Amino acid sequence: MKRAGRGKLTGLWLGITAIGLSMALAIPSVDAAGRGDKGFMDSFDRMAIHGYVDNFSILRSDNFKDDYHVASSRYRASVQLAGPLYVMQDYFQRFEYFIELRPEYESIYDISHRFGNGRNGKVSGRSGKPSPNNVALLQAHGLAPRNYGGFWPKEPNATGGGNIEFLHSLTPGSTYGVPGRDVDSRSRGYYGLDASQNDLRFGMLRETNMDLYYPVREAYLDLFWRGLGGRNWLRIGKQQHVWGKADFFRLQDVVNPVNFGDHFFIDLFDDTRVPLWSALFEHRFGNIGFLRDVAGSVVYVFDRHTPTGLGHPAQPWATGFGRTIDGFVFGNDLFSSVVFPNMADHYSGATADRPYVPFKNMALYKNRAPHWNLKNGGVGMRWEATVGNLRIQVTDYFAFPDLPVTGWDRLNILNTPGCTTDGNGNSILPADRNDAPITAEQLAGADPKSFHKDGGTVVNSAFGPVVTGVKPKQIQIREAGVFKEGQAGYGTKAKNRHAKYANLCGLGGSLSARYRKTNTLGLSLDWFEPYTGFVVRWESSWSTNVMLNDTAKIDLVGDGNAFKWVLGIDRPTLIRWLNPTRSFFLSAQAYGTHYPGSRAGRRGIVSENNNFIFTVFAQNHFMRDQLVYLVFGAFGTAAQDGTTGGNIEYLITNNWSVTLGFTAFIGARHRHDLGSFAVFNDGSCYGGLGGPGSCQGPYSEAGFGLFHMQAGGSERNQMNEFWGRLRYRF
Amino acid sequence: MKRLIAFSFLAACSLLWAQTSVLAQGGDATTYTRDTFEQWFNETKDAEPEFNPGDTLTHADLPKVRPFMFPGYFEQFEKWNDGTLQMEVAETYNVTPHQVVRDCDEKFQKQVTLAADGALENYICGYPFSNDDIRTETDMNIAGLKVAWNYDKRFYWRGYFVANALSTWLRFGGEHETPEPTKPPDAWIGGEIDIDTDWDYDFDKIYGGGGTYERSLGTFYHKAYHSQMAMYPDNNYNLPENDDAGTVHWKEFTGFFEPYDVRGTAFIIQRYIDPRRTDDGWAYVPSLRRVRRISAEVKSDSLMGTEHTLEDFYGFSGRPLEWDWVFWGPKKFLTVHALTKWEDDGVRYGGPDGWLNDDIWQIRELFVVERIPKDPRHPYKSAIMAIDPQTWETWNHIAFDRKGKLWKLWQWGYQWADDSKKYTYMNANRGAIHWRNVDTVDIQNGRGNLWREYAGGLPDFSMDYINGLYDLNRLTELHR
Repeated sequence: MKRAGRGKLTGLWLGITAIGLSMALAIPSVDAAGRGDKGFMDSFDRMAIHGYVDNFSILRSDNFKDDYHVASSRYRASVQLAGPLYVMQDYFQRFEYFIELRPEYESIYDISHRFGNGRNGKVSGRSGKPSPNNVALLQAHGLAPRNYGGFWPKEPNATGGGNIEFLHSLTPGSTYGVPGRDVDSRSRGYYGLDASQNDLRFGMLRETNMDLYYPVREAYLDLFWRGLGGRNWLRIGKQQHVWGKADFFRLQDVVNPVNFGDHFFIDLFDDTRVPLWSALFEHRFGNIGFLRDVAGSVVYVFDRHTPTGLGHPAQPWATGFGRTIDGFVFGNDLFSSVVFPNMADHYSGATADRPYVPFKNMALYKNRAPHWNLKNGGVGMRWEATVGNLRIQVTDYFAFPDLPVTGWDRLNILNTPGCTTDGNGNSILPADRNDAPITAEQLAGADPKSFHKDGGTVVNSAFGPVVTGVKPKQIQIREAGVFKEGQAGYGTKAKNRHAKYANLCGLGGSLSARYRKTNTLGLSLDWFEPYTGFVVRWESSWSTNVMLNDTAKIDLVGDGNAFKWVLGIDRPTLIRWLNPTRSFFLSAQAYGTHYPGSRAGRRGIVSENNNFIFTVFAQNHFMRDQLVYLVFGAFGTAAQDGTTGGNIEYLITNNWSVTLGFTAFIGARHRHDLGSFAVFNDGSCYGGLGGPGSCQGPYSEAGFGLFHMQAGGSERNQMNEFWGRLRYRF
Repeated sequence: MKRLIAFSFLAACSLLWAQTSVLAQGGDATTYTRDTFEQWFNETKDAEPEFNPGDTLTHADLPKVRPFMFPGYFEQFEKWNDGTLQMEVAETYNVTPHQVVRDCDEKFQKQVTLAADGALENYICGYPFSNDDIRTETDMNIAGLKVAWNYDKRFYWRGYFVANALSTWLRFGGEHETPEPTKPPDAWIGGEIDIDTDWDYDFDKIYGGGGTYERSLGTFYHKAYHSQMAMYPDNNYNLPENDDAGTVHWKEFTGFFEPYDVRGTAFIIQRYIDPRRTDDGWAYVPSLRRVRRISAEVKSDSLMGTEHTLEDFYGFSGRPLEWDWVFWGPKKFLTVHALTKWEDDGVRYGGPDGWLNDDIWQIRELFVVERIPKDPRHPYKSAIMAIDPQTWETWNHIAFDRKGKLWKLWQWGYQWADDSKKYTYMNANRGAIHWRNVDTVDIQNGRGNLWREYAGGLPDFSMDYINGLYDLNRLTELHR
């Protein structure tokens, strides 16, 4: 377990102190009626201990046809302690606690050769052995091909060309160990990539905060008192905040991230939502005029920034994007060594034979995660009230999002006239530039950062002369020679010039994961319609000034707004011929995401402007509720993908239960501009690394395609599964 | 003369044959239909008992009991033939409701009428109709409706509370392990009452007899009346300091705290005083950590997989206007009602299947009413209730499936609150009945549910507690 920094803990205590002082001002004395003379030690007489122990296993296959194999066999225990605390009884009507300890053991690393260290080369899910070209590349760098998977969104064609294949690691560890690399990107490129096998084995993951607090999943205090004219509730500790009324979708439910690395969205959010250190204060007003059951609450999250869990690539359930991220980070180290051999990527590695090249990167090299301090926490509020037949909820949350946007900090530009000059030979790059890699002699006694010039560094690469590390927004792209008559980019529309310039002139760069605080305003309501028996739910959110990945931008980052909505209907329905005593719970939802004013398509934001997902859900009970079964389906229009599944749970006794389920993924593909990675695509287009073949253009599903993996199916249709859970509850 | 004698003899034989055609029936209750009950009722409605207070009836005496027990229910006692059946018969225990109820009856009964659709009009508090009014009503459908409204408005003090209404899933035959009920979370009870002091039960003795117990569910329950409350004349008969009084008739909070798979699940249901207005309901689902709006209108759904539907609560918890009602008339029954010999105020179970009452019996005259659902999709074709017109609670009720066959039987247990030996602080001087058990069996499938009270009564919770318990925002506090 890692220790938190002192500065972070100081901030935590400051926050707690501030809250405590506020409470002291707001709390009058209250009667401790009914509790008599119970003291602190009496509290433990009323401690409730509940929980479960279970094994959860997945049998995976390729489209239910072949390659059946066990993909997970996880043992998990949850021990939940809850009860009253008979302290400060003069101040609080109730003082309670709740703690959940949840250790686990994923045995797949020890029982299967497909995951983690000790693998025999066969992998699982949409990832296969690297192609021959990539095998050679790995071997040339002293890396064992068996430790890497090839992630490709489209099958290579018969002539060996085709879409780009990204290598990603299959083994855990703290470094990639690419020879020739001074700074290993594994721990810097993104959250959790440097997890060890034991971290994965025992669930001590960065994405779940279990690297710090294992095995404490939740731990909070509840305080209740009357004051300020109503009832007050303070919950402080590691907790989940659940807002909104939609199933499966998170519009208002944005305070806590979720970990999709466990079992995607098949598992309940209650199990996958990541509890955060935070404080919730709620004041219940009661009825105010025509508003009934009015409550207002504020939330302050003072935990460190925690991302949505995408899965470590060595985990069975790494989502496609989790593997892609690893591919981009590993690829950064590998390809920077391939493209810029015998050059130091850090000034400390510079020698007489090995000069320093600032921003010697090819892909994702840094995660610009928000620092852990009070200022970077999330703050929000929620208001609820009943108006007539409507139950309304208004929320607002201002925080860093739990998914980043990746953008070019620096670009590598081919040092050819059309790319670095205008039609008249004038440079279009920033003037401040290193004309050659920095020698060790130059570095001696100098500030290394003084060589981080906006115009980059001129170097000789495996592709010929290149200017590395150019600030992309300072390139005068419209003037570039490639757009002049007779040149490759001639006739490109103005709106596409950034993307085309990157296709023709780019050679990777320094990509970072970026975060910017976003405000999300949400509104939801529900009402019961008595004549039809429907419960109707509506939830919507408006996020302003969000960062969006936009392939039409030179640095891949655009700004926009996002409007999301869900309309759901529920109806318990008695279908007598199927079940004469128990009604079916039927539910359907339509979900829309809109990016007004943004441009989408092959070039533009990587989601469509308007995306829709439809879900259906049905649940019923048999055998006096001892047998519970459900089926669901989800389909997304943007990615033309879907997921369907279901499970049956049999409650054997009050303690034992067994659940069997299945999940099937279906999906098609879209394709996005590859930007400065286009050179790695079909060589017949750009004469780059890709082999000959019919030109596919600078487009691929690789990288951004998974942004629209909305209903789960796209790119995942080799991870169909049967799963089972045997649980003992107490 | 000879012809007269012969004719008389033949007539007597015919009558005897007709009587024994029902009275002689026995054994297979699964073949009984609604007609069986109607025939039994007509044959026995004027029957007088051949036993007296002070007698202890055994299995051999069951033929004397038959006229005073519903068919189907009687056969369950016939199975209790191991020699342990002891039905102690006591004097009929007559009770009168609290003075505040009688005051309301006196003031407002005369003004109450029925609308064309059967809705109650001009009702303020107390019982809408007097028992004499019902007895003398010539239209049996109207009489039935009056019974329904009296039942709907029965006096339950300010509402009922039980810390654990333990529900146990039962199957006929076999043996069982005794369930051991636990206490609900402190947060639900609040700090106003103490359930610990009197929490002293001998579970082995409670759950006697046979029967297989498959599963148990711990349930916390509270019902709070908000309007039409006889004890608040100064507040227009509405609950004071409550903004929903005058609109809402009652609210119910039901929370499950064991076993783990249902722990934390809770419901709030609101019934309005407007009889035409549908109920509102909300549920907290722990696996979602969210409060969900629910349709409270599927009342014919099984409650948590028990043999009970939402409508079967308290004998009938639905809305009277959704049923047609037919008053069959008054009749004497042998009941366990309002009186107990046990120190813990509750039922004890016995019999080969472990669900029959083992307590003091008494003859009581009950009102028998049949209710027929207006919804043709309802699982029941009809149900028959035997209601005590002193306490206005049910003793037995019966439900028939869509084919008209006997499907389920209920035996209800109530205690006159003022006689309680436990939790007296929330039962004394109430002048009302309080629930202590309901036991349901599915005759066709040989299974059922026992629901038994542990720590219950009619407390005087503060307005603060009530307003807090039923605040919808409160549900989000819950966790497993």
